[in-house]
Amino acid sequence: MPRIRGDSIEEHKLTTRAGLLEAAAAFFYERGYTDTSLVEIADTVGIGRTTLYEYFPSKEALMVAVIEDQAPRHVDHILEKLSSQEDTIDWLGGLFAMSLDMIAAHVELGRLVFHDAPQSGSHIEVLVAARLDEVDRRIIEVCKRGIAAGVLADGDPHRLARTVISTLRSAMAAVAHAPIPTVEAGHRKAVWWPLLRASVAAEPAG
Amino acid sequence: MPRIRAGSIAEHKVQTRAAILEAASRLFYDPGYADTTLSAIADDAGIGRSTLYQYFADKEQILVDVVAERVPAHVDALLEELPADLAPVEWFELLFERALRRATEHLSIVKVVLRDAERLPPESQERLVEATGRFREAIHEKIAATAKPGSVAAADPGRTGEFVALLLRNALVEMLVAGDDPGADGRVGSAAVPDGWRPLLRGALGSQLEET
Repeated sequence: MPRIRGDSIEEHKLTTRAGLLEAAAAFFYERGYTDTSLVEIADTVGIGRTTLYEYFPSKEALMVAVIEDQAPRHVDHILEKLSSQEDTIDWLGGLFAMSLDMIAAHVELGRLVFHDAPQSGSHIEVLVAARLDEVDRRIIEVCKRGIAAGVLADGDPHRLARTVISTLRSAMAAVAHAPIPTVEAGHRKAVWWPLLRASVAAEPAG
Repeated sequence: MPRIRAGSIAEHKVQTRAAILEAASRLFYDPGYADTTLSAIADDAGIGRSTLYQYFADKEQILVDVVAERVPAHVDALLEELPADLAPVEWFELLFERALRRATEHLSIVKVVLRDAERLPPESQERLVEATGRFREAIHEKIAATAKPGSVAAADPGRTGEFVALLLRNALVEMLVAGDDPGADGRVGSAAVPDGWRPLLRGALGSQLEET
């Protein structure tokens, strides 16, 4: 009969789940998503592969859960810091800079989100798991507000938002893939932010 | 016994492969990538389905080869027809307009590449990226040659070029979403897309490039 780790079955399940997430994150980060097998993760936690499937039906599901466990705190931290920023352009610039610094500081997580997830085809799930869908929603709001205030170029707010979102995502992916992520984050901030700002701002920024 | 089309087996293989790609690009254009089966490609190429499998494992692989072999010619033609004496920003505006127009003629393929490319194996992705290599090079060269001294573009024409390519990609996505539905002004949705992107392109490059 398997050993029950917690006081109750419920608690045991939570403990096992947490252990699996921790072990999976360690493997994904150190060895890479592709080269990690579910058996190794199960072994580390001391359960069988079949039991692991009761918690996570696939490696993708485990990856999404790892992202859901780790990314939201970083995203929420950034959104929290921006919450008092009234100026549209500064809000966007702050989001851009902080997001790139965050990826540079958590490259392994960045690789999961921007490399392994798209390859596995669970792109939408990952956006939701990482709370990036919430970031997108805020960007659209800010673009609408910026256009109404005459700070951003008068046009389709969704077109402006898509420009911001895609630039931000591509820059984050570039940082996650770069040999020296902090250096790449510096380049993207120095080059892409002025271009993005000039692209969406009402007046050409000189 | 199957008919050998050429003087040697090797030559026959080259021709069969070309026939498959020819058939595939025709069918990907109409009825479109999603509605094209491997059997239809084999039929159109005049070979059996099992023969086709000797050349390509799946439809994705055919698509990658079609793109890798067809796109460079489109890019060359596109670049060639741009007047060299245009002001730099106008050169980019025209590049956008022409690239988008060409893409509308091959929406089915563009759609698959934009939507599914990330999911392809890395080596296939690389080949797709290579197929548009000349395009990115031309953008880079134009920026390097016309950037205002002291500008961001002069300091880093490579990443500036990437930004421009990203804008174009977004415009393509918007065009795919707009599709062929008539807009408020009576033109099909995709026809209005270049106008929508012009201010963003002009905003980004206006202060970066020389006036003439």
